[in-house]
Amino acid sequence: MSSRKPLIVVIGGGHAGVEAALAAAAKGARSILVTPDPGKIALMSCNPSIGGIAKGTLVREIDALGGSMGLSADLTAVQFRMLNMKKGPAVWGPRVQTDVRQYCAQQKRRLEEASVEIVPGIAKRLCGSNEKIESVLLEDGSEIKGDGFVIAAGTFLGGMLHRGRRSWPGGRRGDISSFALERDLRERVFHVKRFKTGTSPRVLRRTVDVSRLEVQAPTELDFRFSALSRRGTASTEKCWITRTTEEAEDTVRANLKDSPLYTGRITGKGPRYCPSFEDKVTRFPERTGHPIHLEPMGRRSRVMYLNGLSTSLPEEIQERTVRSLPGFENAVISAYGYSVEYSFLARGEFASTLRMRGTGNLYAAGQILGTSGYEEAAAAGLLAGANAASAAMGEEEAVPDRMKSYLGVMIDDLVSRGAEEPYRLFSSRAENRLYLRQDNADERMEQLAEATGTRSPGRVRAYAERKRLRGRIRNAMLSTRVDGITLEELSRRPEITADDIAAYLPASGEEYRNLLATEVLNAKYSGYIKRAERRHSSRERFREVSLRGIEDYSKVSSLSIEAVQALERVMPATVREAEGMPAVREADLEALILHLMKADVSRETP
Amino acid sequence: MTCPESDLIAAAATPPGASAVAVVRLSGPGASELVEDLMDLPRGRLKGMRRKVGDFAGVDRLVALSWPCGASYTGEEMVDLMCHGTPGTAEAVMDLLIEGGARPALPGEFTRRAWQAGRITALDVLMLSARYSGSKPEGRKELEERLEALLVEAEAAIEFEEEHDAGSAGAFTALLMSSREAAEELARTAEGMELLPRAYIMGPVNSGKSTLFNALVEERAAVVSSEPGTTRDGAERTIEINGRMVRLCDTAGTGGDRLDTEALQIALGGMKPADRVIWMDRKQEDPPGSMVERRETLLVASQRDREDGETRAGWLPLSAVTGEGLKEVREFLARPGEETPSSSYRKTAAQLERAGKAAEAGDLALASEMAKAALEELNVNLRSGEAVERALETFCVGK
Repeated sequence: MSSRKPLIVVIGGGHAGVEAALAAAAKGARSILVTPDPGKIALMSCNPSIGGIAKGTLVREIDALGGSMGLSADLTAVQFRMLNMKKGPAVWGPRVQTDVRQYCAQQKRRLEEASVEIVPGIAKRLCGSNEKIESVLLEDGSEIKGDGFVIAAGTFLGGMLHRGRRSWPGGRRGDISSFALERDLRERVFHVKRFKTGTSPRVLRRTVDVSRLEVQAPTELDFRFSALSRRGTASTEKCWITRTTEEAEDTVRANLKDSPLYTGRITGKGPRYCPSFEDKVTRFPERTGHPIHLEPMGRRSRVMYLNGLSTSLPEEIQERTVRSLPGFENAVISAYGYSVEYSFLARGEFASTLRMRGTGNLYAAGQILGTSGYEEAAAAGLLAGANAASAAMGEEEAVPDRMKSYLGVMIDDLVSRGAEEPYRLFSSRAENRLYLRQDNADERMEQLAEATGTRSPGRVRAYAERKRLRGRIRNAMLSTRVDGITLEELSRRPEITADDIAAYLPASGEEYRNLLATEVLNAKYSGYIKRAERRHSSRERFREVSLRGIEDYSKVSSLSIEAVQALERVMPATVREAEGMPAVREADLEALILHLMKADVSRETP
Repeated sequence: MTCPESDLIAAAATPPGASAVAVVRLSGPGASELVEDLMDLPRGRLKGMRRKVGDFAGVDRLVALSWPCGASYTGEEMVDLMCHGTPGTAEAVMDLLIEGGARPALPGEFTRRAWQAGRITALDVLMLSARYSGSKPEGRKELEERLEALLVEAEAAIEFEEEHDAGSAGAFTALLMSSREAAEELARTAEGMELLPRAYIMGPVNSGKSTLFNALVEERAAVVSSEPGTTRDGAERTIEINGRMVRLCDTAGTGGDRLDTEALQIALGGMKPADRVIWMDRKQEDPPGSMVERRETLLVASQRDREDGETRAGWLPLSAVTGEGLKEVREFLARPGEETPSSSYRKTAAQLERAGKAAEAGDLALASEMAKAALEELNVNLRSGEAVERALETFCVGK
């Protein structure tokens, strides 16, 4: 490593790009961030909220790694809401409604404070061999040299927008996309595929009669994403809920011929969990009254986002649909919904470090990985930025563990299975869900944070202090006995709560109570957590086992017919590869592993 | 490979009834020699992998296929006798083999030997067991489907109920209840069909073991005598208690002469960990650890009609004459075992009940985890180590 600081170039100024540039800077590298419009850094192109079930936990993980999303979300929130408070602490989902403009400004300020150089421009192509990328060439002809590169171009990578019968190139409404960079990746023989996503129309607040709508108030529970954020009373904004009418649904059904989704103009696959309104009425014709959430785009914002009404129908149909909603009779649309098709890397084109296949210093983060969502993008961005800097500094790259974090679950899913639709985190994707909670992110991320080296010294100190306090609580739980059993054992009883345990310990501050609650949950779920970890490690042992010895899959007991056909067609080399095949279900994998276990024993059956 | 020390076992490998060919399998040391004798073949003709056609002691003209130790299914010296499938032929062949020193194989014993010899893995055994014990019981598939639906409902309720009106914690709880009932129903059905583990009546000589045995069998099966050490053969009967079948074994007593001790050693050698013990002693002395260690044991203070003094705590007073204590003995025998299909359904039901409580307490994430465990209980319970023994128990003879 030379004495000069390595330079990391990040292409894209969205949620992935920002965290990538900040992570590289936090490690002591110099960062350059290339973005078409520096005024739209970290812009929320879709709904104005951050967090949610699993996603909110991911924001806490980003925070524990030293990332910025949680801090900025806390500062710019206009409503705090803890989802799923009646579904169990493992699936609580912290979420905020944010002020979109303020969030952009906050994130831009953080880049400036970290001395990240922001370069306006559009990446045209990479220069150098895949093994060593030398520089990135911009559309304006300028060239930026660097030691490591992160592509975080999101929907701008080969982005094509659709509305009605009109299609035009772009990464977002009002912004141009880069087809040249996409072509460069193809020419470098990266396998890219197409996904589609969409967004809803926005309406002017004063044109909606909200007095007729159901108010969605923030939850009582006060929280902040970041361990560094101060609690305080934030000015809150309301959200409202309305429901679509049969008129709205009929309008859409009658005009499907003008939807690019149904005329074959869009071929990329869209997310099932976030369907367009066209999809909703087509796939669930019996259902009526789909909920639509009306969310302000910011503090005293004049614009409201219509969450749940993603559509790419022509403007006049969007207007008719919106005006058929109760309270929206006179609504004025300030921006129409649209669909966007973009390119992403197929499975196998990047590793768990987020380094691209066969490259030495080229990383990818955000939608290019096949993910969707601000939080997913930000977390991947942080990892890619940190690893790009690590590699440039001659350090080891970090890989997250799926037993310990949603980041690990996401990266492992993408690398092992790939994305069949834009990938979003769900708590159900985690085998170790009872451990991957929003209350213990700092503890879970400790190892990874040490590997990425992206925490500020202040954070490291604050964490060390919490860890000491946690140690004290653990000791107290193990050494204090009640009726002959320890508090730790007592905590495992279903009916015992953290408050019950606290009654046996000396009264202490809020931090103490929070950590105690976390420890009580860890104890309560310990049996399930251990079981998940045991199962995972036994599966891991088989992942790299070769399948080449299997000549006839129809002879493998208990394999489904679909799996046999798919396996014979694809002929995967290892169990891991088979795992990535959609036709190979969990039970088929178990059968394969059983077969491999038996294969060691020579035998003769009469 | 050296052959394990074992005895010679034989069994019909094909089902009873008329067929073109019936197969009788013989495995263990001396298998080929026994067949050579019965077929009047010179010594060594069936040594190794051989095929001989000929007369079998006048019973039938048949084909004998032999495998040497290390190359057969069981890993032992083994001979398959393919005789005509006329009713009675295989039985006659069996009789001659038994007369010649073989003993009838227990269910699954060939496969157990194959497993012990490392010829097949425990997993093979499970798969064979699954294949041969026939289809899944009625209602099992429905329960599995119901549990899958349950998990889908739980996940939908967790991810989408609050904001997207999809999935419902209420529906999940309702499904939990009905699944639990289905699991309990399956457990009841399975219990009715299960063979319970064997129960051995043991204790010092002349403590009334055979008297109890007879009282339970309700016929004078064992020769009852007040002379110590009358029971040497170890009688075994299958009896029905509360609609369930129980195998009951009488043993020679401890502290008898050399013959008694030998008879007891043989009985002990055949015992399995799951077998239960009824330990009878008039004097109520602690049984030797080796006999009751890690076994479900019922301590019985016998002949209470004749003996004076207090009954020790933890001992059941019994009198075959007055009938005192017999009811408790029956209950002990009829208790479901640890590792049976019914117990796995019971565990499933218990997991689902816990899940219901967790859901009621507002922890759907935990409830979902428990429901997952309940589903795994149905698929995975056979995978634990001891389950292999049970798979062999329920296995058809000769595969």
